[in-house]
Amino acid sequence: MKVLVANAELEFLIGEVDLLASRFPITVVSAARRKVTVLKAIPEYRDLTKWKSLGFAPIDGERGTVLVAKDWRMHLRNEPSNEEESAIAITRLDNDNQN
Amino acid sequence: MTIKIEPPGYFIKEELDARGWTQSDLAYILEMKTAQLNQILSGKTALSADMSVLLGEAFDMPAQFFANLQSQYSLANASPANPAIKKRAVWQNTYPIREMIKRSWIEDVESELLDVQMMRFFEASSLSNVPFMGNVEAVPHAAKKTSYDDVTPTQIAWLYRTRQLAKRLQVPQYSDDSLREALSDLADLRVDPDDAPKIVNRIHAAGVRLVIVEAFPQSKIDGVCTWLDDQPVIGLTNRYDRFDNFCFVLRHECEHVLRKHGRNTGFSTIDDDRTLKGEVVEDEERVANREAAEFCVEQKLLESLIARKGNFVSERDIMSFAKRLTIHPALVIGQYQYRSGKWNFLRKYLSQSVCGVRKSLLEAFAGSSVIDGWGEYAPASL
Repeated sequence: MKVLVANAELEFLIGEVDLLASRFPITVVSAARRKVTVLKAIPEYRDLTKWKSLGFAPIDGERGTVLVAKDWRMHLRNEPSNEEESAIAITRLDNDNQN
Repeated sequence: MTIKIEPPGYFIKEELDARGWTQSDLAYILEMKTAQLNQILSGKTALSADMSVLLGEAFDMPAQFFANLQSQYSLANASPANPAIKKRAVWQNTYPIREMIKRSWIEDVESELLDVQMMRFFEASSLSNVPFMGNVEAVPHAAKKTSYDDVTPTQIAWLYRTRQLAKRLQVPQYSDDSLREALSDLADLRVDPDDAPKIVNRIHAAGVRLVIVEAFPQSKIDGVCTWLDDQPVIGLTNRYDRFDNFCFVLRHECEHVLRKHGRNTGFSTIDDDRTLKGEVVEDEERVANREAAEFCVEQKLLESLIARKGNFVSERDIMSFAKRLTIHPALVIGQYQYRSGKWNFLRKYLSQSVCGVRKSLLEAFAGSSVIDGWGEYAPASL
């Protein structure tokens, strides 16, 4: 799937950016990037639940979360796409304890 | 530093943990030996398409998922591309590098030397000064740059090859008087296309560096007048290989020389069909065309012939007219075709076998810097 990010703070998930000012712990950054590798490899949104280690938990038909590391979750949204390739947007990366 | 991508085996091991399977469980499912599976899980063996299908069955995932994991990993860990590839592509994007190498205009060298070589070829002090390669705004020779507006990269490459060869010619000091004298002498050499080498030698004797360089296909160049400091250079392509065209273009460029056209900008208009057929109405071209036509055939006499014969000019008329003026019939036919628009009129006299000049030029000058092309190329020497 094509993976998009909803804001500049999450750019590090799909590209090389300066992480010095990032609020995310390094372990979360590397774990989240590994989840993105899996997300990119999965062809369709409906297959997310099949790959158990992804830790995908649906919220509704178009949204869900992925467990990244202890207490850290990535929020996903299925994106409408006119292209052959499906798309998914990462909307947030949150610490459960800080919300 | 690129983002690290783990091998497919890393994610498969995570999945085994998530499902509570061991590696042996998966080996059993796949009917593989554990050691064989371990090669994959450790990333030592890449996932084949067949293996992706098997894993897809085992995990109830599309086979494409595993193939995608493998391709992401392979691409991220591929050896960095040789920078020479990009460099060659950038040059080839603008200039016909391979053809230039084939013609010995430049040598086939490593990328680092390619840049240097191209800068020398284009007489540029930096890459940004190479025509079409740099930021136009940053080029100090802005006036010269503006003259690239109507030309193509292949035409510019041809122009610079012309200059490279011209530099190697030994000719006497140029003067307008010596060129005018030479043109007067050339009037007697308009009979036999095999005398083309004599024409070239006479122009050289006048101090003009005349070279004949084969153009690239579709570049539609006939000739150019350019300058090495205050020394004039004429480049011809002889693309039609016709005596009338050779005489016309040569005289056209000589007029540019006499009038110092292009001396301030480095070169005059690169002449092609548009300029030589009068489609470009700049004064410089108009006057050069007029003198070239006059050189081929005295225009008043041609007008008189057309006035007397109207639309009924015959082959016999042309032949006797050419004989009377002591010029090759092709010169009359070429001018008559241009004036009448009858481009098929007596074309048989314009064929290569009747009025071609390339063969005699190659015989006379092969191996020198005077002629370059048609299988005979002077070394690059940049």
